[in-house]
Amino acid sequence: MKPLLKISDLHVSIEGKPILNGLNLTVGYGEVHAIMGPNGSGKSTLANVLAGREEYTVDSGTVEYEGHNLFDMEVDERALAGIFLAFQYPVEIPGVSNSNFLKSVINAHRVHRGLPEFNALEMLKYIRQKMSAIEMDETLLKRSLNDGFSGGEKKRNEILQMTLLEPKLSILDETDSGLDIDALRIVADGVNQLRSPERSFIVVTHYQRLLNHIVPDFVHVLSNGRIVATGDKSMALKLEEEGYDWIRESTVSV
Amino acid sequence: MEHLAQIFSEMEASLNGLTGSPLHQFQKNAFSTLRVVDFPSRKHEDWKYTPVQKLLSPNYKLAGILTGEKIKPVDGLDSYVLEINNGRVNIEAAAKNLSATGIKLYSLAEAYPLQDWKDAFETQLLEYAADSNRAFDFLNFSFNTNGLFLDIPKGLKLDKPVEIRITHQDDQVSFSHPLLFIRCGQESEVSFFERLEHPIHNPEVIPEGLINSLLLFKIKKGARVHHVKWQNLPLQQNLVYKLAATQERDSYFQTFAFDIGGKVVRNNVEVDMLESNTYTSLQAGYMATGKQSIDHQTRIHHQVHHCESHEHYKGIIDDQANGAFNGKVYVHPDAQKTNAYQQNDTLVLSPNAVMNSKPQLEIFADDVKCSHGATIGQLDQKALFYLKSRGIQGDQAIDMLKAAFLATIVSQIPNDAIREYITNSMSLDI
Repeated sequence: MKPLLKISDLHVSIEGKPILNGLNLTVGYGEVHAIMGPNGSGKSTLANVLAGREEYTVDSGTVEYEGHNLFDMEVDERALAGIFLAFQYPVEIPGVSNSNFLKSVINAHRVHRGLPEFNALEMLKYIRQKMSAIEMDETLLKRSLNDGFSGGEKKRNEILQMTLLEPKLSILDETDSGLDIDALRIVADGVNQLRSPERSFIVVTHYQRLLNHIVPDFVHVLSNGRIVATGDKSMALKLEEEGYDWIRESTVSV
Repeated sequence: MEHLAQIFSEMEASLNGLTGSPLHQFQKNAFSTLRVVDFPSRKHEDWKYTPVQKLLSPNYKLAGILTGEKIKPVDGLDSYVLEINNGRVNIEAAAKNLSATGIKLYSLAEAYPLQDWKDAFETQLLEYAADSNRAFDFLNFSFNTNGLFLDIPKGLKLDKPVEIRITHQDDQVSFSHPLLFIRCGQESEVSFFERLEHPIHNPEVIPEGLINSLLLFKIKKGARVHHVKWQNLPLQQNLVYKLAATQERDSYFQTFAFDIGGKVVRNNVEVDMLESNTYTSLQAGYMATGKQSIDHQTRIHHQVHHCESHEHYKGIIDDQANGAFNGKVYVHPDAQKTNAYQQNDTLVLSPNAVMNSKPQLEIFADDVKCSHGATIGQLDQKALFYLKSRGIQGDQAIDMLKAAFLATIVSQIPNDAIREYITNSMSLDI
């Protein structure tokens, strides 16, 4: 069986500045991969390139998603094929109501999967059920998408979308940043409820604390645009205690 | 101008018994003023971005009596209908529709000799300097015969909107000149929905036309007036539109302008705050595509102290279309404690689309709070990526963002049926 995602020797730059320098990563079905690393190591770039952000230039290398060339797929096609990016900074869109947005998105995915669109009642029921699971205030549905939401509300809205769309590959880009401990637990619960043998996660984080709640199968350390160390969950603890200096030293000596 | 002189004498010849009447005198005065001031050229500061020559190049005849279809009603809208077909008010039908309300209607032939009309409007009209800036007003006064004076009595709180349906249909190149004088009596509360439309959506072959429409409000003490203008004319028809209002003490005036149709469209709004403690809100949402030209000019005169005005115009200009916003707020020397806000935001979506924006303040008082600004930009690429990253297809994501941009104005229309009608007609129901 082919892996869900296979990244081979990926080189990516922005405005001529190289960011990813030969990154290799394979994510199998049902796996949770944590990506850690110091600031500027390329964590967010990796997350955004997978989702299809246009500002980045892919210089060389390949990414296969379920055996297909990911770079042949448009941004919306990737989403419909099951890739979901939980944004580090969700975008505020005044004038687009959160509920209309969710309805369009959910129905787009249902149609893509060959399912009938939800009617208004089914839609409301479905959204309410997922909202209550992550303890999200229903009044946020009536507001404009992320407009004036607090940092925590924005992140919760990302997790809500993730649980509504049930993606095959969820990429969480520093979803834990700026969250208090309760919100962190809710985000982690959202992920853990979705975990299944078909679904995989890439959890990009700066800190180990999220990984107490979302227990990863693999922890990778990214430095200078490459994965320089891979281990199990215990490596996250080592990073928390010792920082990233030992990684830098060991990579320099290579 | 010689062409107009000929049309004018043809019109005079058809006046029959009315020659020499106050109506005829008014028209004659207006036309001789028009000949003196002439139409503004591109050198005129206020008409720099409006292709006046293009607007006037066809040899318009005066539109005949409407024989075609009428504009259809709006779903779910309960209203008092007033029809203006080819510049002619259907007074009998309007009088019947409004009979139970207490509103008085006068044809212009009846209105011009009336002391009531003179008190409300004549002084104001005489005060205006005869300037080429007002050329289209004089054109309207010269050629209008079937206008209307609506007198809304003191204290009347109208239960549903007055719907003004304006249409122009002719099998020759022609112009029409709708003219309405509306006096809103003390403490009255009324709302107006003005529709400039054609019964056929996007008719393929119709002659070029010009609607030169003029609406004058006299808003008395404590009156509250809401007004929505909706314009979806065929692409062969030009529009020069003016709304001029004077406001007395404690009055409230809110107007919206929504434009998606027309070839060359020029909108003018002028508000004079004559007494203190008044509130004025001007808002607009417009979309220009193809080779359309949509132009807004606003003038707000804070003549006295303690008045507030709020102005927000938002437009989307695409393809090879042109847009302009020329807004001016004058804060006169006695207008202390003025609060004025003016903003114009535009999305320019094509390399060949052009927008000219000029938000201006002229302040001659020292204790005021005024702000003005303009933004011109493209769709937010981050927002577009966000929507697409959720599985929304590119074109739909663009439509969503365009709709979101205008929704902030459209969503403020107080009447549900009108709001829904405009939302659907502008394809904002995404």
